[in-house]
Amino acid sequence: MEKKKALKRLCLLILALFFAVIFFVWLLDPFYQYHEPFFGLKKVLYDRDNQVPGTIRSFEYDTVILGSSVAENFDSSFIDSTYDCETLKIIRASGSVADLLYYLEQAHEEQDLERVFWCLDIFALTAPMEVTLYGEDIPRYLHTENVLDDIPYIFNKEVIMKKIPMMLAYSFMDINTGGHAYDWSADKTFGAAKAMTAYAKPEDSGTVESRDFSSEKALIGQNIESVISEIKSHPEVEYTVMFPPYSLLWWDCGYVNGEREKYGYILEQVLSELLECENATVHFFMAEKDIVCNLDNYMDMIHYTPQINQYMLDGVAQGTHEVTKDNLGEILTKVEENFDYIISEGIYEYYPKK
Amino acid sequence: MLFNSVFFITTFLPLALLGWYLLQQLNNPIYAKVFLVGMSLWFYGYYNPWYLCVLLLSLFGNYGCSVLFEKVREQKKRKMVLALGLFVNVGLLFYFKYFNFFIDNCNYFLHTDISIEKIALPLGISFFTFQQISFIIDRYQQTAPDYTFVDYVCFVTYFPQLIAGPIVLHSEFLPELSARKNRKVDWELFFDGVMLFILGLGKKVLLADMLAVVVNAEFANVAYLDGVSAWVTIICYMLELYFDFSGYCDMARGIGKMFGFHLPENFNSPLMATSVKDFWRRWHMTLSRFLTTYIYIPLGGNRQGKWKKCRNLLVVFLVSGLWHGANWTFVVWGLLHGAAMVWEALFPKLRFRQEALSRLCTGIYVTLTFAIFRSDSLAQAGQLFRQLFTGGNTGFFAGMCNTLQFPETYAVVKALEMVAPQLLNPFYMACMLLLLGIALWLVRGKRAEVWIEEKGRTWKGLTTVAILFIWAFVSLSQVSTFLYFNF
Repeated sequence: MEKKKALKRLCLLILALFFAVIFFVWLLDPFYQYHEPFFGLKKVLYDRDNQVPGTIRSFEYDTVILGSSVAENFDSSFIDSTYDCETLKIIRASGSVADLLYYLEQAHEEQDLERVFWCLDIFALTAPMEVTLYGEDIPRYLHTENVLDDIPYIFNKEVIMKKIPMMLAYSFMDINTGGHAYDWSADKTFGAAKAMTAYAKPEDSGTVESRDFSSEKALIGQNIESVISEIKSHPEVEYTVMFPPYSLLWWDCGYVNGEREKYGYILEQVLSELLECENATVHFFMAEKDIVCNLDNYMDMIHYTPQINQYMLDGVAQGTHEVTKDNLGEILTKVEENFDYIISEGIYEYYPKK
Repeated sequence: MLFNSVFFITTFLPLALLGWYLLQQLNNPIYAKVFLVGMSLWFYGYYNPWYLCVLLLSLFGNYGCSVLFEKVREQKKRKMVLALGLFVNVGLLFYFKYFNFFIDNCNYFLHTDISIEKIALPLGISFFTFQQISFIIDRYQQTAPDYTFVDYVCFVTYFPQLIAGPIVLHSEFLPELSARKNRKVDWELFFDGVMLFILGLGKKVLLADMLAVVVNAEFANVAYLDGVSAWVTIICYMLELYFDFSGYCDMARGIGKMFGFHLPENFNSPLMATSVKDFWRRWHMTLSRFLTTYIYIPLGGNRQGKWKKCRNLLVVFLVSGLWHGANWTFVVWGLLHGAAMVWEALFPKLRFRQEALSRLCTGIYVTLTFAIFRSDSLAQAGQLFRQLFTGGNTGFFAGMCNTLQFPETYAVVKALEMVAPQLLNPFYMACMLLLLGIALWLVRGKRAEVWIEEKGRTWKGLTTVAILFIWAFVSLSQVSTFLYFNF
């Protein structure tokens, strides 16, 4: 064969293989950049940072669950059946308000949302307001619709040889599908022994004074303002804001680090502001003493079992933990009482007094 | 910019080729040459534009020497120009490459406390400095003509060879740059170039980078290695270095052919060498050529008796060691190769009768010395050698094989985890043996160009190369940088 002819054949072969790869990745599309799954495959969601942007663009939904990793174990099928809706989970591990609002704005652009369930972490209200979803280490293809940006997605060995086989296997084995999108609880151990490994309680040194946080107030204010303006700018959407129950380890850790006054301030500010929003209901689980003070519900300082997630959804549906202008003072007092109990008694049920 | 990057393959290279051949159609070839220089400078300054300043400074300095050689006829003054040129080149190299090392050693041996900011090493500085030293020496000896500035800049900055060689001589490159026949695409040569580039890409991405996973993990844990795993680690490193550097050179030569240039060969089955002397005839051949022509022969070569020959060999390998890096490990590595060359010069007949045994012993010696080359310090090298010879077999090898977590094996690993977890370790071991087996088989196999000539045009050959290309291309998002950039 002449070399010129051989070169043409080589180019044709390479082109054919290129198109085969493009077609294969487009067809199975593990990050859902282009479409919902074909051939009756289930929606498999197991890789939040890579999959959330694509699902916002490609899926059909009218409700979203917004939150950090503590929101991942919510069974969204419960919401679907209770409220007769189609739910998508939008998760950012840090729970950063700026990042979640960025995602939520995309969701508003793509779909006509009816409900937003926001599992709001109070530690996220002290985070910087910069969106951290695009940067040098984050692939551009996730957030753009430019075909050229998709080259590293389509021609990517990890996508072809890891993500696609994993997606197919999970689809057939029914893992991370349906209401259990991003659910990480299956291979985790919960219990006091495991949770306590996440917190080395320092030696007691008398009463800890709260540290001055006046320099953080502006940032806290910005975060709260962003949440409130999001809610107010979409009066057609019903917002359900939940405050998740962190373990007593988290509360004690906050106390020994002088954060007690700050937590109180944040809660007072955010709750009173939220109560001014007509299209939002607020459900408060942080002061659930029976849950918070039982470390068997946890795997570390903040992550709890899926049963707690379900308890929260039940509470929301039944309105048992709803905050109103009338009971706000009572709830804030309960938080302070719980705080006192945890630092004086609750924590010593697990750690020795030193 | 890296050859093994999506941007280079899909955008830079096609653009460079298209511009080069289109501009060659104009009557004046200077446009094509200026375009090529522009593309080369873009290539060089892609990650750090500041490196361009060093390259341009070096270019102007050396071309200035060349101009002076043309104007100055008096021998004494010519010598002064040469001395100045050499001083500036070596000075530049010393400052960027060795100054930190020099200060560290001053502090250590003289108990001083000098502290300076770490000086960043510009990419490929050793390559373009040596290339230009050879040019000004040739200009001094009047064996190089007075090239135009554009031709000279084209020669030094030509991107396929700029940052990791091969070290091209002006007499090899510049006549081809001006040749009329090169102004049209030579499809025969273009085909060879494409094939060579793909085979080089495969060597780098699919072999060297896979071996690098093991090597990097184990060199970070030398203290935990047992004898077996230490030997496997250093063999993996030898193979990684070979496939990494020879893969890069194949890509460089392949791109050269696409442009119509013949860059010199840099490797000729070096791991099949039957002696250290033979190894250096096959490994990094353009460096050996430079050191022989510009250091060994001017020192007297082998013309002044056995002892001076031995001295010259040691000097050459000391320079070679230092050229590779500013660390005592490179110095010791160079001296050990020099010592082996001296031994072979003193006892040329003391050899095994069986070629296979000579190959094996040379391979072991070279692999052991390159273990020092790879070590971060002499202390780490010492520890590695202790593990090699006294580490025994503690079963660490099985754990070492577990580092081979590649996307290619992911589905099998997950399936085994669920169905037969007891088979995971044997599976990883089989992967390691397979990887080593393929690498060693390729070391013994035909050179890339011979294979292209014999099998490249068959359907089987073309399909193999097309699959290799796609496999390497989809692997590009997770590849490491080239080992020879910092030399």
